[in-house]
Amino acid sequence: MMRFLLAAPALFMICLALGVVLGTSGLKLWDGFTPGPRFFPAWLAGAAIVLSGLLLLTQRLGTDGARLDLPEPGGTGRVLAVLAGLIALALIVPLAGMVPALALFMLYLLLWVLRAPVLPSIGTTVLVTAAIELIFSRWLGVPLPAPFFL
Amino acid sequence: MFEALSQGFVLAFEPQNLLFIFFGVLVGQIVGALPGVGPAAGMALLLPLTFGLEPVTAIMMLAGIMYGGQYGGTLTSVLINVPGEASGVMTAMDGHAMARNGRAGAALAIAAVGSFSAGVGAVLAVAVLTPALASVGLRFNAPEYFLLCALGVIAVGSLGEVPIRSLLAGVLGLTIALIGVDPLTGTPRLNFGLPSLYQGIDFIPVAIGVFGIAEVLSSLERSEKVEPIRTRLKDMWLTAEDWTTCRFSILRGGFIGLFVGIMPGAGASVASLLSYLTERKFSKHPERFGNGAIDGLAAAESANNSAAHGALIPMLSLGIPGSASSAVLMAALILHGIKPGPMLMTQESALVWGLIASMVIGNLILLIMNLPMAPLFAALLRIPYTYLAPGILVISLVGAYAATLSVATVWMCIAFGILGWLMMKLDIPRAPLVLALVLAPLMETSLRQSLLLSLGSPMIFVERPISAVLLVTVIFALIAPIWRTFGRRRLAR
Repeated sequence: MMRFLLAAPALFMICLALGVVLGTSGLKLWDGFTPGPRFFPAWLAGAAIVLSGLLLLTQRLGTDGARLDLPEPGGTGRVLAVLAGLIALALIVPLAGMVPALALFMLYLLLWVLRAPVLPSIGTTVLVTAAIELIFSRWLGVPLPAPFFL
Repeated sequence: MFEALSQGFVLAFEPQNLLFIFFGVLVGQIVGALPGVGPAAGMALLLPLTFGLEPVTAIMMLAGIMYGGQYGGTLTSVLINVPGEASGVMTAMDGHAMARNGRAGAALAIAAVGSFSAGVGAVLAVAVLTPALASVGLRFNAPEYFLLCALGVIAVGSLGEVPIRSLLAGVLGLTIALIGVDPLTGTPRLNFGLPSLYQGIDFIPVAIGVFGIAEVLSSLERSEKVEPIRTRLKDMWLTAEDWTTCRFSILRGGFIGLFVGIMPGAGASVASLLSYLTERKFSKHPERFGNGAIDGLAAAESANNSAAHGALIPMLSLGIPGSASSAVLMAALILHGIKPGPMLMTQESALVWGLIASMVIGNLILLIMNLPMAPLFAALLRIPYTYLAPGILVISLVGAYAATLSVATVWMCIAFGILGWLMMKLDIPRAPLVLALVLAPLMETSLRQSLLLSLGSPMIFVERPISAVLLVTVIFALIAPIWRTFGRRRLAR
C-alpha cells in the first residue's frame, strides 16, 4: 500500500500526460513555420512522462526521500465529512442562496463534524455570516446568489 | 531615484493609501498568525476585495499582507510552536524553546526588530536593484522570457528534499494552465466542451483551494490541541547581551534572505533555513541551536522577511514572481490591468515607487504594532481552531465566488482543495504548482513566439548571449537536483 501511495503521483501524471495527448489529438503540432496549439501540451506531456519515470526509478533505487503524512484513523473521517459538507454546500447555493447555505454549512461543521458546543457555534455562525453579508454584499456590492424564492 | 522615491512617499502618505497599508499589514499579521492561512492564501482571499480600489492602493494593501504575514507567522511559531507556514519552521524551533524557558517576550521582540531591520534594508535594495534589473530586462525578448519562466518553474524543484516531486508539481501547474483556449490562435483546448472551462482555470480558485482549503483540511484532520503561552508587555525587553549576540545575525540573515528572495522560486522558507544553518556555523555556541538560540531566531526571522521583499525585485523588474506571495501580487497587477515586466518601471513608475515607499511605512507600522501589541495578537490564538476553521473555509469560498460571480469557481476551489490536501499527504510541494500556473501563459507564448522568430529553429536560444546564459542556468537547475536525488544512493553506500 505504501509503495503504491509513493508511486501514486507518478502514475497520476502518466495518466494525465496520456489524457493531454489524447485530448489535444485534433489540434495541430505545427502550423507552417509556427508551433501549433498542440506543441506546448505535447512537450509538457513528454516532460511529465520523463519525470514520472525518474520518480519511479528513484523509488526503485530507494533514493526518493519522500515522507508520506498519512492521516490518523479518525482524521480521514473528519476530512471526508468536511468534503461532503463542501459538496453539499456547492449544490445548495443555487437553491438556498449563498449566505443561508454558508450558515447551514458552518452549523453542520461546528455541531456535527467538530462536536463544538451549541451556543458558541451559533454565535460564530451568526458573526461570520453577518460579516460576509456586510463586507461582500453591502460594502462591495457583490451579487451573492439569493434563495430561489426571492 | 531619490526624486522618484520621494514622489512615492507622497503617494503612500495619501490618507486612503495609508489606511489600506495599515489594513494590509494588520490583515497580514492576522493571516500570518492563523495556522492554515499564510500570506499567499490571505492575499488570494482578499484579492476580490480590491476590485473597487485604485490599482496602487490595492497593490500597497496586498503587499502589506505579504510582508505582514511574515511578522504574524512568528507569533504562532513562538507561542504555540505551530508555524503559520514553512518559513516559520526555524523560528518555531528556537523561538518556542525560548518561550518555554520564559523568554517569549524577548523572542517576539528580537523577531520584530530583526524583521524590521532586514525588511527596511531589503526595501532599499528593491529601490536600487529594481531599476537596474529592469534596464537589463528591456533587452529581453521572447527567448529570454521563455527561459526565465522555465527557470522560475525549475528553480523551485532544485531546492528542497523532493526535487522530482517538485518538478512534477510544476508540470501539473503548467498542464492545468493549458485548459481553455490556445493563447495565440484562440483555438479551444482541453475544455471538454464545458462552458465554465472556456476561459481557463483562474488563479484564484487554485490558490484558495491548494493553499487555504487544503491547509484547513489538514489541520482539522489532526485531533491534538495546542496550549498557548501567555506573554506580557514587561517581558518584551531585550538584554544588552541579546543585542550583542544578534546584531550580526540580523545583518547576515538580511543579506541571505535578500539574495535567496531574488532567485525565482526559492522563497522565504529556503531563506530562513539557509540563514539559520549559516548562523549555526558562525556561532560560538552551536549547541544552543534548537534549544533557544536567540541568534538563530534573529537570523531566520530577518531572512524570511528580507526574502519576502526581495521576491518583489524579479517580479517588478522582469515580471517573474520569486515566491507564491509575489505570484499573487503579480496576478493582482494583471487583474487591475497592469502588465508586469521590464516596462513596468517606465510605464507605471508612480505605482512601483509608491509600492516601495509603502513598504517602508508598512514595516514601521508592523514594528510599532509588534513590540507593544504582541500580547493582544497572541490573544487571537486563544480562539479555538474549531471556531476559526469553518470561518476560514466559508470566507475562502465567498472570496472565490466574488472573483468570478460563478458557482463553478466554488466547485473548482473544492476540487483544488482536495488536490492540495492529497499533495500534502503525498509530500508534493504545492508552491511550484501555483508558480507554474501563473507563469504558464507567458512561458507558452514566449516559446512559440521564439520559434516563430527563428522559423522553427531552436538555435535561437543559443545564438542570443543572454538567452544562452539563461539556457545553461536552466539546464544546470534541471539536472543538479535530479543528480542529487540519484546521488543519495551513492552516499548511503
